[in-house]
Amino acid sequence: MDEAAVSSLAARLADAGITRLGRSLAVRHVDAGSCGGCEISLAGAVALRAGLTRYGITLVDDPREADVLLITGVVTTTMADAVTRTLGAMAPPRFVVAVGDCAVDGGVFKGAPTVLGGAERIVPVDLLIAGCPPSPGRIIAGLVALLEANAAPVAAARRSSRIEPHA
Amino acid sequence: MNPALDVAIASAAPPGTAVMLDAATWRSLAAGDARLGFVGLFVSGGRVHALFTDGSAPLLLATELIANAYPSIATGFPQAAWFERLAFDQTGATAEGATDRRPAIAQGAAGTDAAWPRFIETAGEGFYQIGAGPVAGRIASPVHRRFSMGRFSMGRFSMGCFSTDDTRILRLEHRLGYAHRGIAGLMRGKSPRVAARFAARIAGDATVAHAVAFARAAEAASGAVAPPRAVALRAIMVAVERMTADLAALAAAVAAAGDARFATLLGQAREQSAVALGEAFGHRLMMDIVVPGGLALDLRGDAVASLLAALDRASLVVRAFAWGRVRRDLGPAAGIAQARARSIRALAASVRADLAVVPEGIIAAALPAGTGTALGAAESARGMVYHWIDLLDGQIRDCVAIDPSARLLPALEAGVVGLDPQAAAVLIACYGLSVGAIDG
Ligand code: SF4
Repeated sequence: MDEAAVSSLAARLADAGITRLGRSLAVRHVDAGSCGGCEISLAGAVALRAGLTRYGITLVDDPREADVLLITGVVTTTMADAVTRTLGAMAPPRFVVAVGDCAVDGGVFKGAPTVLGGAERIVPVDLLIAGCPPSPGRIIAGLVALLEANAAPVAAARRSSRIEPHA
Repeated sequence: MNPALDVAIASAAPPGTAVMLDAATWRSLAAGDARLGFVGLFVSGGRVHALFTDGSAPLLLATELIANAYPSIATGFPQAAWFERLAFDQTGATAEGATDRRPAIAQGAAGTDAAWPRFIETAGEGFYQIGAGPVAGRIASPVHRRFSMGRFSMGRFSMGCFSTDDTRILRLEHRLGYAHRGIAGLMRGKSPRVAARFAARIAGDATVAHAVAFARAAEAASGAVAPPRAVALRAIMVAVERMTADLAALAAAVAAAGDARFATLLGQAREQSAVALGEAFGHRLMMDIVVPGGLALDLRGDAVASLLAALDRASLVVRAFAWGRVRRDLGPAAGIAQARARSIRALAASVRADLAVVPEGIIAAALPAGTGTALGAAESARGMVYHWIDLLDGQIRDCVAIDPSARLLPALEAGVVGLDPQAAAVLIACYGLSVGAIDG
């Protein structure tokens, strides 16, 4: 299901996203305090045949090369500094994507004393991809949508990406 | 020979209830005991508890704190050192006689934690340190690793003729606490049913193991028994989760060794399992399916075929593997990798067999509001996960989760000594530890 949904985005990407930015999209991932579940989806998004690579989206080590900061996990008090510093090392235009309920609004950890909450508590967020965890297909679709919209307003992104997490 | 300890151990019944030791007998643990495998240590309710296995059954020993202190057992059981540090961070109880008093997961407020990390300084010409994290690697883990590098020869550190070619890792230290969400604190005061959502989010790659261990502890403390169908399905879920975590660790290890093609095949097999599990149990990681009392959702019969296909794919991928080359590429991690590959095939076969004999019936029993303490365990790809619970009238007074990551970390730190950074990266990946599970 994921592979099919994502394949249908390939054509749209070809005329919109990649050409608009003029190159592939480089993503720097930061785990702000996750359980590791969202990383399993992220790894799946890389490994899938119709995965990120096919859309010219790659994970990179060096934040200075990155267009997108992809944040997973609830922002703990101990990781907040590293997250903002990583964003600070990125050159504009730069986008921030919060992946998973924890990064979207704190998820089940919302209000806990040792966490700050979702990524928006410390950095401006351009796109929210909800789910606990979101499937690889939703991560791919979200990043592709970001390419297309270039700088999607958070409100619009939230409407299109918010799907109730597994209850 | 330790007669007092022997008597105490013999009195352990039923398994999982704490055996109270007097101060002298507890102190004698500092001499070690070859029969006991250390699992974890924690402080709760004015007592310090040490959890061991005697090979088959868990053994929980405890003693009263005196002036919020207890004798350290780290000389007898070196893996206890980290847990003693953690207990101090969490409760302020001190381990008397402990030599390592660094914080375990506690970090100062941002910008003011200059006292941290107290990495041991590497002195001398030609020695240097490499720091990595908490944002490092393409898919980052929130941990800081500090490698002390230098020339390594014949088990001795040679000061002369320094060249970068033969520099090796002399020491690896982890700075932890970045992923600390305070999960035990969030579970306290809640019913086991509500708290299960937090237990399921300690570690995404062992969510079933933690959920089952927690549910078993809660059921034992409440006098509840999960129905046979739930028990059978839990065993299947535990086995599939182990298989997928083995696939992921293997994929990460071969990726670190530079074999991108094989890593992709393993990653795809792992992803196919996640998709099949989504169809079968309604969640790709089976999160929130196991609850105290049984299961929240039943297996979907029409998804069994996809699950079987995913098991076959996993077996096929590891079988097609050129093990001669892997042994060469993975170096010191090859043994663990091969064990994981064998485990993938064995688990796939056992799940296939178990799926054919799942009994019909209800999937959940009521959980009476119980009072008491109990232990629960379940197997993860890293080893046994344990949960301990203290219930009062159906509410959690205290709870403790012990993931094998915490006791494997010192083994990993010792295992990379003498390796170059590349070989160390492979070994780290192959261990497949969860930082979130250590930080809690
Ligand atoms: S959103 Fe869910 S899967 Fe992702 S890090 Fe949070 S708890 Fe884990």
